[in-house]
Amino acid sequence: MKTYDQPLQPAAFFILFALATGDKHGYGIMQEARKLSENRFTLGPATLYTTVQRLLRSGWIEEVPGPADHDPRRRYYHLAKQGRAAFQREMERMEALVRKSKALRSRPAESRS
Amino acid sequence: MSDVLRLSSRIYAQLLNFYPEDLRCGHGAEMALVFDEDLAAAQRDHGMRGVLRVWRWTAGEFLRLALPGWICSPAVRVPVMSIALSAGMMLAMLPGILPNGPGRPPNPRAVLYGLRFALMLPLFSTPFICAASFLAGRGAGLVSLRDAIEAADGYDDLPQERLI
Repeated sequence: MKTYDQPLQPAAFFILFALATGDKHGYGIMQEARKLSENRFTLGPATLYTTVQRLLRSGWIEEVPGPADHDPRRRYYHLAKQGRAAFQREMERMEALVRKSKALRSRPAESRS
Repeated sequence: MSDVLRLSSRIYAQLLNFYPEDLRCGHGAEMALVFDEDLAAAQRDHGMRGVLRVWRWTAGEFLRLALPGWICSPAVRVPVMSIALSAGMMLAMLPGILPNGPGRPPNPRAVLYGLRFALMLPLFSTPFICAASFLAGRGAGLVSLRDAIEAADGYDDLPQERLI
């Protein structure tokens, strides 16, 4: 049975997040992840491709042909339907946590205990 | 390309050999390309500090992702165990070489014998270590093939979240 309450690992989350903004090659994913996390999260090449390999195997992302004039060493990746759904679920999970956290903070101090 | 980038690129290409084979074969060229691009951008934007920052990350990844798998491979484990065994045997001989009582000099014949044994043992054990490494390397290949087949068989049954 699938459970969706498990949080994604940061590397998988940022790769899905980067690909949600459009198809990208490895370095593009790395740059986008840095931008999205405001330089707080860095993906090194090994972490990036270990996670890309797992995401490819699970069918969450897929390889797509790049532009006609692209460097043949580069491979482009696309967020598959399954990956988009997982990313959506993760965002919803985070939003729910933020909502709960805000509700907790807005309650008076004596009623928290 | 500056000398620092060229040297870094060469070192990273060598480090790639320590990463798991499937990762290296599937994405090795891309990893090297991404590393080169990241390093060039870091040098352009932050100079030598940027280069060092990229290397710090790379070293961290290497220790976390490449080294544990490499150390656990039989091709490394077998020779290390053989050498450790030889060293253990030499240590076991130490009481025979050391003086029998306080203030007594060590027996020169025992010292000579111990020294000769210490020098000869690695010489004799080297062909065995090489043969063991070769067999272990072949064994490691078979083990990883078996693991890959088993993993592929059970892959569809796993919940997707466990794979990420």
